[in-house]
Amino acid sequence: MSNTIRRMIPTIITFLIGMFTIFVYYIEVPSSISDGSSTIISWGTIIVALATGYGTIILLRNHVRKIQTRQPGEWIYSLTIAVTIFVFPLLYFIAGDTSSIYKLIYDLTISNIGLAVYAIVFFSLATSSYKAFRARNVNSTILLLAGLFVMLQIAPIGAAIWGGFPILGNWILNVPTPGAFRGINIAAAFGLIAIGFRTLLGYDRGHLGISEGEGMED
Amino acid sequence: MIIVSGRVIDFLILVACFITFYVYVYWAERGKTFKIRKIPALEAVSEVIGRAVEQGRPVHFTSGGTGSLSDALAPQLLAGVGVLSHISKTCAELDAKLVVSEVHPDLLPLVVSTIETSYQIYGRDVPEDTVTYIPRGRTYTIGAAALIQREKVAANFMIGPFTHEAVFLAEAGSEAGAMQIAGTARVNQMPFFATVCDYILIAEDIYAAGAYIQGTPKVLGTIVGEDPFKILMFCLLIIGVILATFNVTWLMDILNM
Repeated sequence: MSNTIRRMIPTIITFLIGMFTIFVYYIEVPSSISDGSSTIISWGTIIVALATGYGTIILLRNHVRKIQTRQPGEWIYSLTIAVTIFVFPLLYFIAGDTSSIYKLIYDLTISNIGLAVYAIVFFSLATSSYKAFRARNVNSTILLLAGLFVMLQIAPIGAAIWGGFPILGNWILNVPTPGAFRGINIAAAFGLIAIGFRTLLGYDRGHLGISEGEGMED
Repeated sequence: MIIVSGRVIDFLILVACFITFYVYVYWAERGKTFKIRKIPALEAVSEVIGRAVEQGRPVHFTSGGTGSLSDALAPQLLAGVGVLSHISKTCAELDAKLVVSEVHPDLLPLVVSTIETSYQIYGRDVPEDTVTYIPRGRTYTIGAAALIQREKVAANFMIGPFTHEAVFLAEAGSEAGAMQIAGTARVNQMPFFATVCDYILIAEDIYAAGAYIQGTPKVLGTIVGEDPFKILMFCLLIIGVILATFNVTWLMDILNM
């Protein structure tokens, strides 16, 4: 593929569509033009739908390979995925998503697994909290104290020990925390504008699948 | 030309940003060089991948479990791909095994293309099972965590928009004994990365990552160009706090135009 097709044409398309959507967002335009912008944005949904098919092919290909090579400890799970990829949509087309068999399989598999995952997340939270709440230096001690006050604010025992814990915990949650978050968000917003600028002008070409530094000479 | 009500100041700031960035790029083209602070997380990429090569274990990358290229989280995804480009090049150079768990179907062709391009630079073919597509939601949380532990990855990169899976994947990486570099602009997930991972890219760091890795004066100029606006915002914050304390609203009225 020539250099022009690979780099220049996608960059020009990015610039034109990007500038058009920015223009329509900020400037009052006739509805026929703003509808055009909405149409362009909705193309994203179509692309996602098509790309999901591509993703499923990649997923299936990886697992079929594992089944073919009888990868120890893995192929049986790959077989489950491969079968599910065909059975579940087939069931949807034959019985519909309101049928009892479809719902039963869904309730007995995905729902339970999902609940189990969320339950396990608790343990991950607990271990990461343990790592965070170790008073190794001044910063981690402040973090430990802040975490302690917030926990005592939420737990009923906090108010029973001292009436000031809920007030202190509330203050931490409502004053310094949103302040820090907003500071991060403001700085991130300018980073966002900068990456938009670089993308529109073709200085950043990650969205074209072009490796860093490649083709920067043009 | 009439600007939509409520977006006048936003528009003016955007235009001012674009003009400033362009001025910095212009200066860069005239030979001016810019220095920006070192980002430890990006400096450590080669070291982390080198460690994985020494241990004979793979390198894992994932770009988070939420967002798509057509929503507000797209810049984070693209920033992640920018870092992936650097990671895949380093993996190709050092002959490290790379495994990618990708949840965004629209990003998938981009991820595959980026890795292929990186490997082509070093005359290598991308191993067939490098990229694994995992559907979003709980499937991704379990699938990616299982991949990290099954492959016993020595390096775990998590750059992009994350939700609840952030802590789960970071803990999975920690249990696998991986060195971890994570980055997100989602403030709710930053604390988990900060506590579990070895290096973290906080918010604007991930947007700057692609430019930082490229390191050309032109793109670095756009990062330096953010500084005048951060100073302006800092001044506005101070003035705003003082005015709000005395219940004066004219600044708010102007910003809401």
